[in-house]
Amino acid sequence: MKILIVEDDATLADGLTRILGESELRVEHVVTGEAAEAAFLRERFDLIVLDIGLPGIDGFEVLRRLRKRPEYVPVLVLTARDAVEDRVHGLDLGADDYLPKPFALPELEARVRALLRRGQASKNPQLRNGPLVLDTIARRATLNGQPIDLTSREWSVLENLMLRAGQVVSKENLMQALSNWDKELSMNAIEVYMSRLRAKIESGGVRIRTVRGFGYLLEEQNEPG
Amino acid sequence: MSRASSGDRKPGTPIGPVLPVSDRPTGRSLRQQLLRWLVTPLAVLLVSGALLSYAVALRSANVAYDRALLDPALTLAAHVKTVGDRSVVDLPKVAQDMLRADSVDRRYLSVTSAAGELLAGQTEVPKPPSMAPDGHRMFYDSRVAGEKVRVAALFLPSAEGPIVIQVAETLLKRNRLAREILVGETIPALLIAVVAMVLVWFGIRRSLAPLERLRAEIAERSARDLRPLDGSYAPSEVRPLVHTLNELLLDLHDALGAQQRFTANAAHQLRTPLAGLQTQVELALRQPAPTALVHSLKQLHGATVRASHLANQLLALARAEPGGHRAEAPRPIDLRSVAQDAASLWVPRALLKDLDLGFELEPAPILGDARLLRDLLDNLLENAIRYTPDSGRITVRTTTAGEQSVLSVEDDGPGIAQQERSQVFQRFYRVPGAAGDGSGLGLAIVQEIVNAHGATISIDDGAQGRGTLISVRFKRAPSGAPFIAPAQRGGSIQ
Repeated sequence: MKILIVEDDATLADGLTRILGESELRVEHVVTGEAAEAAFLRERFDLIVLDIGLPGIDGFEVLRRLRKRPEYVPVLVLTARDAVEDRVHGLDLGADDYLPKPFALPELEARVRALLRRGQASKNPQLRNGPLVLDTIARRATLNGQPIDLTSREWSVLENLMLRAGQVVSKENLMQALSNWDKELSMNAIEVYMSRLRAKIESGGVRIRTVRGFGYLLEEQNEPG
Repeated sequence: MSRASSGDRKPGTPIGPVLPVSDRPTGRSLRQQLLRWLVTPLAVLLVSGALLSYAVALRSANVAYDRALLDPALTLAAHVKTVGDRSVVDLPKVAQDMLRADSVDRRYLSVTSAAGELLAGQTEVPKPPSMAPDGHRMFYDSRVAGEKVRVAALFLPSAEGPIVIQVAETLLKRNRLAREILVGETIPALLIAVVAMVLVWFGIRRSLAPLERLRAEIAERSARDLRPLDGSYAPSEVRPLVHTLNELLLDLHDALGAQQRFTANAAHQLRTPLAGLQTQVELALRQPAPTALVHSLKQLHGATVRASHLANQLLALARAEPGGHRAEAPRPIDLRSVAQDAASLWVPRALLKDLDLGFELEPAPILGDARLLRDLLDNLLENAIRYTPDSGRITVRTTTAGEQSVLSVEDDGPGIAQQERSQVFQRFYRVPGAAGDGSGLGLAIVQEIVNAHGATISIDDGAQGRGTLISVRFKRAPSGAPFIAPAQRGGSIQ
């Protein structure tokens, strides 16, 4: 997979290039908005890490031009500017996620992984979290290679959690995802599915945390190999 | 807007000693001065006018009565005859009595020869004190039988000397008329006085109304509201004052703005190099390295994280301070959605410490600034996560209570001692002996944001007397208002 890093600060760009290069991703680094545009016109990237404060055309303009293109490329915006304002602006223009500077590396890596995962979901039918693998085409789940039996609702809940592994998923979001199956699903029903789901996967060391009064979070595990 | 607690700088606070307005020698109320200068002369004028017209009326009345008193004297004079060398009054007693008749007063007549012989009438009438100045007639006051009387005296020339004809009359009629004039004068004068006072009072009130409005406009200003005063309604005498005040406000706004921009720019500029530094240090820490180097890298990392955090806090503070954010009207916002948005950022961080971060969220509509409210909650949560020991419990609540919407964060950490509670809102204040690497700015930022929203903040013990419960109480907004989702989520796109 190939990542484009658009960042004009040499120290930060060097760090980003090295850290993302470690995880067997191919990384290209450019310094200006113009160069970024030339790069995404030339080839297809799986993710663009985009700084907003650039010399020449800024990150917002790069994003605007990128989103005019027919192909979809996930974008993670980095900025030193005022958090929420840039966030609104960036997301309105079609950024997929946002990280204010400075940030901790694990936070950056988690977001990069999440975006790559989401981008890959259409191409790669397999969702992986540690020993847990979902094959979204065959609709088969395995834990440590052993198939596990999931009802279609349990599958739907787990797929949503897997897509956002390491992130909070609200009950409302899960309800929306399930409403295709059941119009009259109650909050309590979600809890019932969750406890059945836990019983089926936690033996493999995969944990679903409850966020009291809010929702759930599937603990992210390092990809094996 | 109420300012809840210590530690906040009021931009309007003067630097030097300034005398309170009421203590200044020339600072008397304009209204009092106007009243004094209008009412006192007016009262003197009205009283003197009334007295003067009373005197004039009384004098005219006396002249008229005097003339009437002269008539019987003239009638008597016409009947004084000289018989031989003697003068006699040729008028029957009955006619004389008719001359004395009066419906109100008692009258006395006397005709006295030059020799002092009483030719007619009563003896009681006293002699005139002197010869009439014109030698012909005079009026004077005297007494008859202890009663005050007015006397008309006529002097008729005769061979032996003047014959004196006197008519005296008690003062009942005159006194009655004097009373009637007095009453007739006083009542209209009093009415005029009352009407004049009311007119003066209304006039002053009306003229001073724009000043009162200006005062009210300034009084209801918060320390962060530096917009120019309206003043279009102010009278032309006051407009220069308003203009000068507005110039001062503008200067103040510019100065504050410049300071805010400097802080914000400095923080912005710091963030990118700090991000580079932090990334490189974290990267270095992942490489195998000698223990001594790892130790140094860890120290370096800690310092970098603190510096980054400080830059972020300074930026948040600059944003929260008066003049730090654009003067936008507050917008309807639900505290519940502020808390929901914060969840995606803070839950993973809480889980790193195995903290149970939970939410009990009910609708809590207010009018506010989404960005500042998020800063507020971020700082409360950051503190709670920093100071609550591993495996602790933190709960974010939003709810309404009466006319208030409440946002609270409760933890079961070590709590804040009673005597520290008022001080924790001061900038760079850190609870003595507390763990953690906070900047000491978090609660100062919270305090600024609380002030900006006219809210109040309180620190209490948590449940069962353990931990800390920080509650921020806002004025509740009508729940029918159209709600705008606050900004966007931090962590993920849902």
